[in-house]
Order: sequence, then structure tokens, then C-alpha cells
Amino acid sequence: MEALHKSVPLRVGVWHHEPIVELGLRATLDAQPGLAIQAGVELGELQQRCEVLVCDFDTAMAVMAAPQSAPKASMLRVLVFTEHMSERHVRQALSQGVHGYVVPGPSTTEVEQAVWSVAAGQRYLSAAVAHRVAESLSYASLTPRETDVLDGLSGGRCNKLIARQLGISVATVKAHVNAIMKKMSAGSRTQVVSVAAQRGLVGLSQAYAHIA
Amino acid sequence: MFTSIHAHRTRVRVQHADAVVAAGLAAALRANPEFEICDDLEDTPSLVICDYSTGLRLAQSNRELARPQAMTRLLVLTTQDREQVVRHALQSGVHGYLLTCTRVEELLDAVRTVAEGKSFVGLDLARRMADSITREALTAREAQVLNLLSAGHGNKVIACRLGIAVGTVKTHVNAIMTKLGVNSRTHAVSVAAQRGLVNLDFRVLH
Repeated sequence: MEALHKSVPLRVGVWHHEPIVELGLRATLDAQPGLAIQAGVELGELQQRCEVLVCDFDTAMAVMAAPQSAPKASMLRVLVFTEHMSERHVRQALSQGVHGYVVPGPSTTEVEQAVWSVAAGQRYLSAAVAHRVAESLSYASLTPRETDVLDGLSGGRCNKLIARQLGISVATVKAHVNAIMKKMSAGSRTQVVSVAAQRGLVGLSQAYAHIA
Repeated sequence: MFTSIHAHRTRVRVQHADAVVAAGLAAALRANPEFEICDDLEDTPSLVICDYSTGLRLAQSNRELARPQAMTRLLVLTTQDREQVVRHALQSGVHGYLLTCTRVEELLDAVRTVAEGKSFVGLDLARRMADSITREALTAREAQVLNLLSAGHGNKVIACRLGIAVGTVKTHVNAIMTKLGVNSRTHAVSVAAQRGLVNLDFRVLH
């Protein structure tokens, strides 16, 4: 494997919505022997060219979701570099099948290590992310319907309104709310929202958009 | 002290806890001949670009200086975008505040402005802060009630904790809902979390 690294450089793409971070990732990886940083003005083009794509969270989700660029078919390995590390982000990324998840830290060596690991077919998670995964496993997870109801709750909607929007009866909404409260060990609807915000289970910005 | 070629260069020290951001800042500045990176901690740069907590720490040592002209100019680059957090940094003596998602041109602009002795706040933050000025602020008591509300407590418990009547708590809750422009307690908590009025944050602190 080592010999392979030396003879054929690994083609790496960098795509990050934060220009400073993109510059930093590029500078870090450029300095590494055995890596060839690919340039691309367009994401699709870059994807074709590289074996490992280092990118921000949203880009990774878009790449994993697009059927024509499905990493399974193209052998592309996706490494997320993001400061987001809520349970929702980590769970979503892992369930979409990203190969690596790295959060910022005091040293750039982790990024280099992560690139080589995912290139070798392994998964790579930063220590803090692995910790979040372990924590998340110890909670009972919400069903998709409960997540819908939770989003409604965070938007400040009452049971009746949630029922109407989801096309279910008020009694069903109540049952879902009770199940959510039990799973989160919350004593009230309000505490549910607060716990969900802490654990990052709802997109709070979306909830906020409803009143804007 | 300076050679003539370097006389007009702005000397910048990058002191950021996030190594990738530090590398990006160095790359952005090096590409521009008007800036010079000084790595030596003994050196006196025109300004320091740093993460949030380093910014607060350096602002503290600035305040302890006897001679104000020896102060280090500070530009913070961070993902911390909550109103109260930004306000706290500026009040503590940080001179410039930018979000990590800033464009390179804005960064260079900020470096120039702060080095000149002026203050700088990133455009998106400035817009948001302008927004918040137009909104009515919560009173100290209302903020306390909001915090307890976020913890999921009912009016009765809140009244008990603060040693006030349930009726008073109800008045506070109504006032909070009016000020936040929402019509339920639950929505108040979710808006408060969004605006950073209560402390719920699980992102990496830099």
C-alpha cells in the first residue's frame, strides 16, 4: 500500500463553502507528499477527477444523495470536514454513508490521516464525533413520524395544527408527543423542544423560518 | 526597526486554535504582498488574528497593560454567531469580529481596517445585530423566566424558584412571547435557542 502511495499520487479534491477553510485544507494537503490536489471550477467535474473528496457537510450530503454520482459506482470516497457535530448531523452523515467525518482541531495531521484512511477503504471519525455516536446509540431513537411531530412542536404548533398538517388525528399526535417525551425523559412539551435543540435533533433555523 | 521595503507592510500574527483555519489565513495573507506574517511570539505585530477564546484572553492582557499604545489589535475569526457572544467579545475589547465563512476579500478588508485602529464587524453579523437593535430587549427577570422555561419547567415551578407569584410568572411569559413575536411557550423556547438568548450550544467552541 505504501509503495502504491509513492508511485501513483492519490487524487484529492477540496470543496468547502468557507473560503478560508478551503484555502487551509488545500494548503495542508498540498504540503503532503503522495497527494495530488485536483482543481475544479465545478463540483461535478471535481468529483470525476478525484478519489477522495474533502468537503463541507451540505456538499457531502448532496454528493451522497445524487444517484448519478453515487460513490458506490464511482468509487469516490467522501470525507466531511465541518464544525457541526450535533447528533442530527452525525447521524445523517453516517446513515448517508460518508466515509470520514472530521471536526476542526489544533493540528492538521488529523486531516491528512483521515484522507489516507478513507482512501484505504476505512471509515474515519474524529474522537469527538465517535463520542457523539456512542452517546447517540444510548438514546432511544425517534421514528420518522415522531420526528415530523417534533418539528411541528419546535415550530410552536399545537396538537390540532400538527394533526391537520400531517393528516392524522389529534389523538395520534398526542400519542406521538407522549412517546417523544418518554424517549427524551422530558416532563413537558417545552422541555422536549429544549432537549431536542441541545441534542440537535431539529433544524432550529427551519422552525424559525416559519415566523419570519 | 523595519527595513525600507517592509515599511508599509502590515505585520500579522495568526494565532488560531483551528489548525486548518490557521493554514487558510496564512495562505490568504501570503498571497498578498501588503501583509507580512510574523510567527515569532516576541515580535510585535500590527494585529493578531485569533479564535474566540484566544481573542478574549488577549483582550484581557490588553486591559492589564499600563500603556494603551502597546495594545495588540485583535481580530477574531470564529463560527460563534450568537448575538450575545459577539456582543460580549466586542465589549471585552476585541477590535474586529468575523465569521469563519467570510470571503477572502472581506478578511483582507477587516485586517486593513483593524490594523488602522478602527473596528470591524463582518457584514452578515452587522446585519443581524442591526436587526436585534430594532427588537425589544428582554428584562433581566424575563431572561431568568425564559431560562427556566427552556429547562421545561411549568409556571408553578418557575414561581417557586424565583420566589414570585404564579400570576407574575404568567405576566412575564406573556411579555416574553410578545417580545419574541410568538404565540406559544414552546415556540418561545425554540426562537430563544435560535437567537442565542439561552445557552444551548453543542458545536465545537473556537
